[in-house]
Amino acid sequence: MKDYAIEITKLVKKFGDFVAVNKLDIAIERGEIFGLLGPNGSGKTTTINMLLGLLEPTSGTIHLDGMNVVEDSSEAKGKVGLVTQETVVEGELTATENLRLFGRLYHLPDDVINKRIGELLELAGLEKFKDNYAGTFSGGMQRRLSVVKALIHNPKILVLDEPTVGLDVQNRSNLWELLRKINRERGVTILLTTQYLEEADQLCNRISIINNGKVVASGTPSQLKQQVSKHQIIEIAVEKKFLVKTEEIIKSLYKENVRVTGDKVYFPATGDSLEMLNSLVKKLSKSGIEVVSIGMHQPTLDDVFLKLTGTSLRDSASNTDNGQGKDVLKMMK
Amino acid sequence: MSILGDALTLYAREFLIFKKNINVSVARSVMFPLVFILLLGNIGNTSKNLPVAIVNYDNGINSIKFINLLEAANIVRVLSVTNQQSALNMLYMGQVTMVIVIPPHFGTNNQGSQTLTTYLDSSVPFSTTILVNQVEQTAKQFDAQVLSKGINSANMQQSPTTSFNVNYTYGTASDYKDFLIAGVMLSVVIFGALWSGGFTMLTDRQLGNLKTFLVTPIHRFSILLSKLGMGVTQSTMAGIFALVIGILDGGHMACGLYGVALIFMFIVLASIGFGALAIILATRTSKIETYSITGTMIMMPMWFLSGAFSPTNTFPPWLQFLSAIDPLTYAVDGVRYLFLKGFIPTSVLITDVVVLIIFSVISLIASVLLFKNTIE
Repeated sequence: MKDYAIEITKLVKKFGDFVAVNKLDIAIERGEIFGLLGPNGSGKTTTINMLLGLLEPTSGTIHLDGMNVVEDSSEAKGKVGLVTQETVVEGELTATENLRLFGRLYHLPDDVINKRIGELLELAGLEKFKDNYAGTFSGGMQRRLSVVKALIHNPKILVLDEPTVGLDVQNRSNLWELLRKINRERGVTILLTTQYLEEADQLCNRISIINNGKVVASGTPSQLKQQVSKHQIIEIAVEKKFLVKTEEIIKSLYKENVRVTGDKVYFPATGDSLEMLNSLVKKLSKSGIEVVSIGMHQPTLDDVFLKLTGTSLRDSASNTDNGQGKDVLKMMK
Repeated sequence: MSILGDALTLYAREFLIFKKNINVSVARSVMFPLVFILLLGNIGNTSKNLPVAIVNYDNGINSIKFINLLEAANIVRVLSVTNQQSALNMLYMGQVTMVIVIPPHFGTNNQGSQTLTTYLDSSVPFSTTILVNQVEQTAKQFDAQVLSKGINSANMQQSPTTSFNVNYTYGTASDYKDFLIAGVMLSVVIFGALWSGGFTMLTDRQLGNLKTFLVTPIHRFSILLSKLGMGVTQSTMAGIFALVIGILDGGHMACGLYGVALIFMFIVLASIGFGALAIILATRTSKIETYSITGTMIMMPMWFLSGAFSPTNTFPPWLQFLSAIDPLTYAVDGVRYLFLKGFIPTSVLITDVVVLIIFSVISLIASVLLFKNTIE
């Protein structure tokens, strides 16, 4: 058996008749930054909750650094640190007090806690603010504090649930830098869920896309993109009244993977894409369809996601703000 | 490390937050006793304008003088009734608190003319002492005696004794304010439970703090304990403020230091039970609005039924039943004994404490069981 940082085997979680996680298998190697992607209700959060020992699996096992999360609950909890979706810092506590609280909850001796507080505040670039109340920090500072707070017990694994929700572009890239640094310098394996495909693309070595509690695709970001198409994706925008007709024409010509969002029709190019474009535009204008714009792009994770799950990740995420999945869980309880 | 050690760590966190918001924390503890004791304690002094029916068989100058004197102190509002039977009926119906029968030739030396007969509704105890004192003092000026007959309108029976039958439910001081202070000292427990322990449990869930605690290797019971501890702290603080404000506002405490210690034991016991109740609510609701409304709806009736504002023995039977199953009643009962009378009979103490312990244990077990499935 290979020695993984996180090994999820045949994991099943049922809430009554509802199967939230259905025989999930994921193995994450040491030192990886691994992305778990999926639409709402796909079983992402349920899987993370089981991994953290908050929920008990119906069947199957999870090992963190070799520790079974059910049988060796206490040891397994010591292997993993959690950064929640909401920025969780105690506004009424100083940066130092925030870290000390968690050091104590992980039962570390005071001298170790004090040493680590210094290290971690430096890592987060907050050493100047160690005695300031966390409530006075900016959003980015608070988020960095909440990340290093999860490292107080030197975990081998860091789990981040939607780590950059609500951060602006600059703070987001700062946080990515911090996560890379933690991964590189401290050798921490990182598992993150995200709704930003760009984030997964930038940060993750490997990605699993899950839907209906099952892994539907795994691989590096570029491997996944190649699954959609090795070639460019062509997008044609037409006026709304021509949309259906355009789709029909393109389908009759190319058959595979034609999809429509908004006023655009997308399909992967095959062979010489320029030639394809030319002949298509001619055909469309013959049928009286005016093309508003035409373009090409390299396949993105969004294309992958759409192909595999039938929904756009960002749309479904922004519509419900991740609340839907939780509601389903609550109903099941 | 032990559950208790983890609970202390989390309690220290609660306390740091408490300290940071010290103004709000103290204001919260002070406001409630201040408003209730200062306002209700003075408004609710019902020993004024007590309705008294007078059956005057004399109609001479002395009886008129007597009635005028009696009314002068503003304690009594006189209703003249011609017939003794209808006056007693009014007493039964609760329309008057006392019936005074003035004999013919009142204030003269004729035999029997120097005895005023009074009928008293002993089930409205907090007015009786003041009333009787007033009548006796006024009668003295006419060299008259007062013969009091106690009647308990609650069971519609004339009591067998013709002697004085005053029920000193409020203790000898018998001031509504004293009565209320004891009640308020216990009412703060409910507020401590709802707005300290339970409330922060809810906000910890909403903000995600709870989840970050649950992923650490601590036992989840220690989280519950820290919340209870904070509720007890807040309640005790508010209890101290209630006591201080009450005494500064002219309240009388009959018990000594030992009694005060027992009073705070009652406060702590009730805080644990009600704190656990609030935590149950906080783990079952996810919105602050739902929590506030449901919490108030559950706690308010318990509060009113406990006798914090008025003696439970004046309640109608169906309310008396509800009051008897309200655990707060027993805490109020114990504190009121100590505060007003300065002592508590051992049997009463045991009953009160046992009921509170049973209540605390049950709600603690329920909160532990329900908290077990809470993960965020």
